[in-house]
Amino acid sequence: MATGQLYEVFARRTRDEPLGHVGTVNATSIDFARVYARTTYDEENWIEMIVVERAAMIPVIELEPLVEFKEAE
Amino acid sequence: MTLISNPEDLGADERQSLANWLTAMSDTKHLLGLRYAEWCTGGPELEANIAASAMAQFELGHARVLRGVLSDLPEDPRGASRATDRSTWFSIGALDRPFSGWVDLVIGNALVDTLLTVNLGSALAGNYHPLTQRLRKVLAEEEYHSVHADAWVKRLASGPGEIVERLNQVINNVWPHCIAWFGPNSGNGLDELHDAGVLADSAADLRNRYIETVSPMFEGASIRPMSDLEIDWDGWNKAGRRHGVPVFEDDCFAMITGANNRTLGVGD
Repeated sequence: MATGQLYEVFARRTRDEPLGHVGTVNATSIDFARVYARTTYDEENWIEMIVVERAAMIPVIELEPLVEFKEAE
Repeated sequence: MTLISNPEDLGADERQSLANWLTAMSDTKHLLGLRYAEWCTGGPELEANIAASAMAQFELGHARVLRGVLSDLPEDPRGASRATDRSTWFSIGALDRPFSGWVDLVIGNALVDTLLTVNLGSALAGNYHPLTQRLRKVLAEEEYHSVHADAWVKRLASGPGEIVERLNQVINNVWPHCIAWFGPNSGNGLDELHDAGVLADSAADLRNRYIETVSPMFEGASIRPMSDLEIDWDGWNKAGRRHGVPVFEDDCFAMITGANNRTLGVGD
């Protein structure tokens, strides 16, 4: 089986709260991402849920790595 | 359309047809929930396990909803012998045995779950208020089961040759049970419900809608359910909507009847 790609999942419970990040799913297609997001993060009565392929997210401020790797001399 | 809220506004024969249909629907959902649950730790990826687990929970919940409607009918066919007599269970023959692999689960999802959903859609458009007021949420939950089935059928159909061959085998095993569920042209139990307005569609229209609903899942693949299936109606049981009686394994029968927990004072 293919290992798939990461999708970020966002959801909200009410109209007056912003979409919040609730987790990720690993999926081989958008359809799988939709189903897996719905079934994995079903602990609330969400009124909206979206998935975004992580590779499609555009960094504005990039997270600096905690550890810097140096080439061996 | 005038909605019927009181079962007594239906004739006795119509209530009997409704009670049989509700038993067949809820028993099949109960078995489907069990079969999904048996694979909720055996899927090819963790998210697939979670999906199987969630779908199992929904199927059992839907069975409970339908049984709530069923229990208001004096013609409810479930009696004391239900805990010991397999013939009182009206589940589809395709679920008599456990799924032997993930392909079986996917085809159960694609063909059996969709069959139930098409039936419920017809009841939502019908006139029996105890059903119509409950089915909108059930059908909304089923939307994700359809997406799951479609995604998996397409993924497996583009897989290695042995997977495609297994898909074909399972489809050919399950499909006759599903088509037989709609019954012969007359005396099928569904037309009686259509005449009473409980189902918006006749048996023939329901069967055609079912075939139209599942066919797109198989488009572009070298697999598809047989379109020219001839059913031998000898031994077909109108109440159970199937040939013969269930041949569940003993463990399964004990599980669905709660037989091993009778001493705790709980059961079906």
